[in-house]
Amino acid sequence: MVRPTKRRRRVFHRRKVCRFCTDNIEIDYKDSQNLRHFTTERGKIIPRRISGNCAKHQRELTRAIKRARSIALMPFSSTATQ
Amino acid sequence: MRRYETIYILRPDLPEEEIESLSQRFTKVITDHGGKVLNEDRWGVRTLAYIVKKQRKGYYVLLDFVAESDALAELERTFKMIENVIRFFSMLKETDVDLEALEELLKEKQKKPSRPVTDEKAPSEEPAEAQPEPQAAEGGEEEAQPEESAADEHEETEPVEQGV
Repeated sequence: MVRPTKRRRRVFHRRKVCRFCTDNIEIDYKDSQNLRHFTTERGKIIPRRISGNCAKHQRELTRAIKRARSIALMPFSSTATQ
Repeated sequence: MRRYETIYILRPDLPEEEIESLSQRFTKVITDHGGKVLNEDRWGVRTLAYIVKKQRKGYYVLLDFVAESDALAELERTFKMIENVIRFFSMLKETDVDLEALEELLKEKQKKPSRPVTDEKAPSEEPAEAQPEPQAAEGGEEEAQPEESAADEHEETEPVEQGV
C-alpha cells in the first residue's frame, strides 16, 4: 500500500482524456499489441483512474483483455523480464 | 443466422497437410449445419503468452463464419475431441444476420482495398506495427510506460499516503 511518493510528479498535470474517445481506436481483443499499452509489465489491467479512459471504453477494454488472455494472446501474469 | 468468430490454436509442430485437413474438417462441420465460412485467417505459429498443454507456441487460426448456434456447439464439441487443438475461443459478433446481405457487403469492401477499413476484422495484424507509435507519443509520458511508476504517482491523490 504505502509506496515512496515521487515529489517531482506532484506538480505535473497529466492529460486525462480517454484515448479511445479522442483517437477513435477500435478495441479489439485480437490486437494484443494495442491492448498491451493498458496493462502493466506484469500483465495487470491498468485502472482507469490512471489511464484516464472513460467508463465505457474501460469496460470494453477490460473485456477485450480478458478475452485475449483466454486465448493466450496476453498473459494472466508474467514476470517483468519475460 | 448468427455471425461468430472462433479462434483455435493448434499444436505448433503439425505438418502442413495435417493443418489443412483439420481446417477442412472444421469447415465441413459448419457447412453441414447450414452455415458458411466467410473468412479463414491463419496467423501461423505465434508464441503463447503462457504455457498451454505444455506448449510454448501455437498455430493460430481465426474463423469468421455465419451459422446457427447448433453448428457452433458441434464445432466446439469437435475441438474438444481433437487433441491437436490446444485452445479455442468463440465469440458471437452479430445475431439475426442476413447471409446474402452480408456477403454483398463484404464484396463491396473487397472492391476498394486501398483504404484501410476501420472494421472489426481488419485490425488483426496490420495496425499492430502502425498504431502503437503515434499513440505513445501523444498519450503523454505516463501512458507510455504505465507500470510501477504509474501506480506510484497515483498514491498522491490520496492525501493519507503523502505524509509517509
